Amino acid sequence: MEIPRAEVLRYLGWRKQPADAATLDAVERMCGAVIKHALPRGVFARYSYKDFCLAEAEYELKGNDIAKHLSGAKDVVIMAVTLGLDIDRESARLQRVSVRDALIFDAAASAAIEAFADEFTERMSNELGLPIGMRFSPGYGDFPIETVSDIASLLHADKRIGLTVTGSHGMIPLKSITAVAPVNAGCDGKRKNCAACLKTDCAFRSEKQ
Amino acid sequence: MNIITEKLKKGILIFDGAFGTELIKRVKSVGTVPENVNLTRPEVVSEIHRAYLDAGADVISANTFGANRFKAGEKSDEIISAAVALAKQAAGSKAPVALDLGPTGRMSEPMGDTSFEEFYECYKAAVVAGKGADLVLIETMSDLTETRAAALAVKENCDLPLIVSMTFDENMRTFTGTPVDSFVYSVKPLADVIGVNCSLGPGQLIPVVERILSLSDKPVIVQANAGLPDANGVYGVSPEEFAGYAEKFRRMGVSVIGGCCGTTPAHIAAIKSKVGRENLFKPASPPPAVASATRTVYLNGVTVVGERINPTGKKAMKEALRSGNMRYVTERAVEQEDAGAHILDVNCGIPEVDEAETLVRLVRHLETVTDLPLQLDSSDPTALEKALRRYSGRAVVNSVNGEQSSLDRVLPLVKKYGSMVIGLTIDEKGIPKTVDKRIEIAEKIIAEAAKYSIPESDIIIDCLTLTAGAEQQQAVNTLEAIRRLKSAYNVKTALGISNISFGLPCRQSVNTGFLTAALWAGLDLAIINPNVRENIECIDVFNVLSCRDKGATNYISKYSDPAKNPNGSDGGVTANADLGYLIRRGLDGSEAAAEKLLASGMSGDELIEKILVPALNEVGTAYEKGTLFLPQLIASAESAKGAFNAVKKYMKTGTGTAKGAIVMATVKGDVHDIGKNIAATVLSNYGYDVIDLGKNVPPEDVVDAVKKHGAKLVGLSALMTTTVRNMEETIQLLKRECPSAKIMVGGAVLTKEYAEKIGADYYCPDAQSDVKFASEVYGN
Repeated sequence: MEIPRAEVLRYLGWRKQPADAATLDAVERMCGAVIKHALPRGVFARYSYKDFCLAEAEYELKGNDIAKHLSGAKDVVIMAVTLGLDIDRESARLQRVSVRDALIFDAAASAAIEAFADEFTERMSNELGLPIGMRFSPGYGDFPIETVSDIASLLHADKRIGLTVTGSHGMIPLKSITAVAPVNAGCDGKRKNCAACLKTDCAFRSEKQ
Repeated sequence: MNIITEKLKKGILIFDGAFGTELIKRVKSVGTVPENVNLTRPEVVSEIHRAYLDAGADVISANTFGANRFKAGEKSDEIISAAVALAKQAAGSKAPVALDLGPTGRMSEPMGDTSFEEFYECYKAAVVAGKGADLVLIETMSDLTETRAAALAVKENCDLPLIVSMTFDENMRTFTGTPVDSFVYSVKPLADVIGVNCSLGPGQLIPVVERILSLSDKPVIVQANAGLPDANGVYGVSPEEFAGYAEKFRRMGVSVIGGCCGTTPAHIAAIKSKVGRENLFKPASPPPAVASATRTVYLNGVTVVGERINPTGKKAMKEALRSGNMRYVTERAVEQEDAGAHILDVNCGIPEVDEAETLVRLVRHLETVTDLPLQLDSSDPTALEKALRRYSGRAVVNSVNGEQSSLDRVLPLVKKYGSMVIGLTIDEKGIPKTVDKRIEIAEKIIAEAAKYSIPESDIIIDCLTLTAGAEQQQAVNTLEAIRRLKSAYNVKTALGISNISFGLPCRQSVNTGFLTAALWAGLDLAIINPNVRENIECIDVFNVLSCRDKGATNYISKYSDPAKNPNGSDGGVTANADLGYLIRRGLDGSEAAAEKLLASGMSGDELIEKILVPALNEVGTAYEKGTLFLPQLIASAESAKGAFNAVKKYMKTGTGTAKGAIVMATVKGDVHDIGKNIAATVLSNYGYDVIDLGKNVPPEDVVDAVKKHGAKLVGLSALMTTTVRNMEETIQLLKRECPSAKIMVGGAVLTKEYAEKIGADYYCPDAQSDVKFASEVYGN
């Protein structure tokens, strides 16, 4: 797994300020620490997509934004990926030792889980022998956050990859992603950049076009 | 005796295989609660049970795996009840039915938001709803806290035999990092049968099975997956191959065998026809060990028990316990672990606190900061009971003594929770004066423990360390008692060393001398201050001379390198370096630079006002302007912390008193606290007294803290749309109970408008804005 340094800096709120050697060195060290503590795992399932539902589960994906995202798809995949609980532990330990390192570790881990999700998507695509479009997670737009728990249930994510949910539909381990993606539809296979996203006041919005 | 033990006398037991895979073959759709089929398609459920019975299963599991309240909601009880009835109907009198309880899909505190009590209630409800079953199977577990809560819920709410099985990966750990050893030592006391299921195919489970068998004196269960699934969900291991492994497991000593994901009636039939019936299980004699959820410590060689978390004679610890200053406790724990402690003694026996409640709080807190197993030190059986109940691991109970009431009250707890126990050779007649009397009391403790089937190997005898200044003869008596006990009994021995030198000059020399002598007499557990170098050195030397440290490798590597500086480097910065520069650049060395300035006559207040604050303000402004970004701001804050530490150390009395108290918390239901932690660091580095309540904090706790500390400012964080309503609730409660306190809020889910809407006084988009508001509120 490769951690894109530009993404790490973006999560740190970098807007092309001069980055000193100590900070860049810390970024390198913390990327190394993430790789060392991460145990990336993923799980997915393919469903037929009919009438806005995962047909074989008779489960409706709620909201207009996901419907728009999946329009045209006959099949979808639901997926769950995680870097594992040791990342959470190391993050907590670093917060006691060096808050600066903890901050950078957190940013590196965020970049890492996204990179792993991309890698996992390629894996799914290879296994299915079909292209897979951009992933869309609960919480984006009007796709309800409660869907996190349902995706985790449908995938038996707790017993297969150790992914659990909180009462508020957060995920533990913290660096985890659940998402839905269209199969063989509406996709160029590449993750779009921030320009396509609705949250224009995001502190981490990239300036790339 | 129970039906499982009875059946195992006659031969192995064959469990059934996967339910889910069989279900999908028969029904069109399976939703988020597969167990609903017990209500909607009972005939399918019965059919699957009959298929496994016909295949030869000796026991079948009711279709209740994910039917708990957390996953199935309000219909949980109804589903479980129906499922057990269907299984009982199918099984008739042919086979017992197991109530099958899988994980709740929640994570225990502190990583997650679910408490031990919440898990307990969930599993209790399932046990009550499933009361028609003949036994209970808790399986596919990853979280030791949840597993123990589930096991206790079964043991305390029904009389049924209990099987507990966890899931391990190729690293021999669960997803939460619990090693096989910790599972066995912690859970075996609570169950009748233990073992492993799921995650891996049978071949890959062999090392896990071997390990469990080597440590378990109770029968072992194995239910492997039929290999790993391919893209279409098809599992690769055939019935014949699976049965081959099942026979291998039986020959290793496994006596309960079934199948997990991907197995079918054909797999069970293959086991039935190919696997021998004879039960070859031989109980192991597990070596003495203690465990936390993430680490097992074997008591071979010299074990260091850190004694510092104890208020007796320690004013600062007493104050920390009294005021709930967990940070102080954390420092002592981490310090002792870093110095080489293997176990931490935990004592909070002072009249100013509720001992039971405080001991539980300490246990819960310590599991967030250390891997080390704990020694629960209390003479209050209620405190011991509550702490043992909650502790995720296998603890040492410190202590029982020769008095009958102590034995009667504490040994049942030791038995129930399977802990090790320290027995003090003292009784109602007082401190023994002779070697013989010490041995006599030790023998009484051993005999009483045997009545509860607690073996000698679970017992640690403390022959008492009396002060040599007052009772000079007793040192030799204690040493001789250790020698005799070690040669006659299979117990371990412990001593709290420091008491030997009380009242004498050059205390450490006396401590070192006594510790050395005790080690040569056969001492196993040294209860000491590991942060005193001489104590650890003494043990390291003993390990060389007694040939435990082969080739003196450890000793040589540890003591040959004089350049090691455990406190971190000074980064090559000279002591003349400009302190302001160090802070502005976020560099190390600020503590030394500050000390030099203070030594040269600058006052603490001057240093703070003239150097620290302007430097931090400059950094803050640069951050706001965007010429610095967050890691640089934080590095500066950490550099400033070094200088503040120097000021605090130098000015022991009262100067640089805090600028004001600020209570910080991540709200109930939310565990994302890194942003709040960064803000707390920045504020404390500016000199505020930050009371950080942590994460998942109920509104009442915030109010209590504000009242207790007289805080005029509260900082709340939330990350999610689902938890921000708890922020609103907290604000409303604060406005009612502490109307003069100002509230600032932060977190990715918030905006200025929303913050206003829920009644916050300030919205903090970043770490620096907290400082601005704090200085407004406190006028400094």
